Amino acid sequence: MGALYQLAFGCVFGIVLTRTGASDFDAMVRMFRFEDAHLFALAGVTTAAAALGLWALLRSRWGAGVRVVARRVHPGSIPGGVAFGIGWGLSGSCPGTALAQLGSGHLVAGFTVAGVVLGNLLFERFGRKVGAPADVCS
Amino acid sequence: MPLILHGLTPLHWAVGGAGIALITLALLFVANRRLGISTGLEDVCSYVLPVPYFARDAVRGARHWRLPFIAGLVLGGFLSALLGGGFAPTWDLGIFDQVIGFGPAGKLAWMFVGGLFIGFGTRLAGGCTSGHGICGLARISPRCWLSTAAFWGTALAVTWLFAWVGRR
Repeated sequence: MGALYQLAFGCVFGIVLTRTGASDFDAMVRMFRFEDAHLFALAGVTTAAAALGLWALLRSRWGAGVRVVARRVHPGSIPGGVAFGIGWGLSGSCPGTALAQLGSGHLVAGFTVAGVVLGNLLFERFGRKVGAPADVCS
Repeated sequence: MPLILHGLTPLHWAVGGAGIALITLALLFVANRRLGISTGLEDVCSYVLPVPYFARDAVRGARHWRLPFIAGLVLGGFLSALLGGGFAPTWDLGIFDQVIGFGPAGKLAWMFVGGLFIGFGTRLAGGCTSGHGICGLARISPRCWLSTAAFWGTALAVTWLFAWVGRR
């Protein structure tokens, strides 16, 4: 039953990412080139609404069971962000939008996802010395 | 500006932003899960390479919700296409084909290399646009703010670099 809930959550997330243009290669390029503020606005509203909502949730009586953790900076924070940024700039997608892209029929995203999986495997072999966090934020 | 997908008009950014925020909060409220994608993809690796690293608790302990969640993402993309004009698989990719070109094999290699950087980088940083960028920023986590600044800045610079190279 829990798995079905999560499938439904993921499905709604996938629909929103696809229909807002977050998983759209052109929209992503237009954002980074400052030609269209649509995705900047989307990211801004998402972050602000999630932060405000979380703040309200934690202060309400429904927030008692919600665990929120703030993670400390680690040696991989900046180099990892830069490496991911290179991949984002190249492919125009991040892990979530690549999956939604693939589902919507953009077959090139299959290669992006395959790259992500191999990137994970390479990290296990060669990257852990650089400084991997024991916990994850993703 | 229309989407590549059937030339659809994108949902308004305020509606989309509220929607993603609601999903983030619903995950926390209903199931006490912090939104994140890249760790689910890391878990996929544990099927490819059975080593202790991928079997650690932070990854495999969350399998029961991360794997259906990322499957849902693919399904959501599929439904969007189906409801928005039909599922029509394509190798085309909008601006990419016009500016960078490179031919079909080159494009796939390009995406694969992009994916390698994403995979390696998200593991090193411990998160991606959803875990660090949406959920992490919202819960004011210092690590997430730092990594998010790094990947936004870098992706922006890389896009400008290729637009510059592509025009010459």
